[in-house]
Amino acid sequence: MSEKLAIKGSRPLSDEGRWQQIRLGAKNVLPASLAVMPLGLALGVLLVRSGLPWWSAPLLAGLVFAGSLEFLLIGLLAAVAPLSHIALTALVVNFRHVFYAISFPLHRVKGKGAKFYSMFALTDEAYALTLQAERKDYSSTRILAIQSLFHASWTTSVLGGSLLGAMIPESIRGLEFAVTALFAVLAIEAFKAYRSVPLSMLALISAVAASWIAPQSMMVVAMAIFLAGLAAAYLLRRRTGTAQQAGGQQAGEAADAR
Amino acid sequence: MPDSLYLFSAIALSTAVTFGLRALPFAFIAKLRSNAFINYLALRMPLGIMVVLVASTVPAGIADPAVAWPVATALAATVVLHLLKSNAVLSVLGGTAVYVGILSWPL
Repeated sequence: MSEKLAIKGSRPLSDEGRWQQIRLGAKNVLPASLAVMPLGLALGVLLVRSGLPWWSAPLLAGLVFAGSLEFLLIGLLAAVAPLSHIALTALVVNFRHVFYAISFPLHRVKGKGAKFYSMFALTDEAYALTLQAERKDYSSTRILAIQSLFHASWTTSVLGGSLLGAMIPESIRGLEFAVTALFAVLAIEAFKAYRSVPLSMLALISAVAASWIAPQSMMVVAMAIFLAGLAAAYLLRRRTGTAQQAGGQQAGEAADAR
Repeated sequence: MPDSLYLFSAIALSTAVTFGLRALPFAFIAKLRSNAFINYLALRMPLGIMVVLVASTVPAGIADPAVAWPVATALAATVVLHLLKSNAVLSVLGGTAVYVGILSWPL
């Protein structure tokens, strides 16, 4: 079987074809793997510095496998936060993953176990790296290679950080700012994708209000207020919807285009 | 320090919730794709949630100027770096270096 045929792959791939697909996947994932390596190291270092045992680093990275939640969990675990609080945080912080199903090419992944793994490893990066899958005809093997290689490199980076963490002197303080900086960067990226000052203000006001109402569980309360605000805005827009649609509101058009 | 049972339970719980959020939507995929409210949220949630996360990971006692100025300086460094270079790793490490520098070596 020639490689060309193997790539189209309606039949099972030959060994050679499979390696070709894995190589292509590796090429896709390399920049992302390198980019998150310092973050993985930082996560591992932070984890050990927060007083958590080193072995919880690979567990957290390999099983939860959701970067921003892992950073938040360090603080919650170190403070022995109630499990209900942890579940709620996981639910709210990772809720965005619900939307990834809308465009992730799961139908291309062949086999029950493979599909299960593919859903488990549907990270922000996996979602972003497979956006071209439909147009460029990615094979099942290639998608799985992207996801599993990313999984392996992330877990290795975090483990590496947790083992190096003990070597960083106690006088170094403030490493936890990496989490705030990470979210600030992600916020800027999100703003580039959806430029809305009122939306940013709604989120900021929700956060400030939550820190007054419930300083102990501020994050979860802030997200609840923010979502309630969004739902209210949605209902309001639907009620006045026809007038605004005639005006060709930009946000509305962008939403429809998705 | 948290005990091992607590750590295992918390990690297992986070894993289960995260997997549920990633896998369950595939069961209702057709309905999700056509739901106007889901599409409305999909477009707006990333920005809002990230802003909330920035605000909620800022150190406690931010009302105190002594706590606030290192945060403000490091956050400004992060944002400026990112607007100039658009390199996420550089921005995160640069901003963190500024913060660690101010806290670890006070003038």
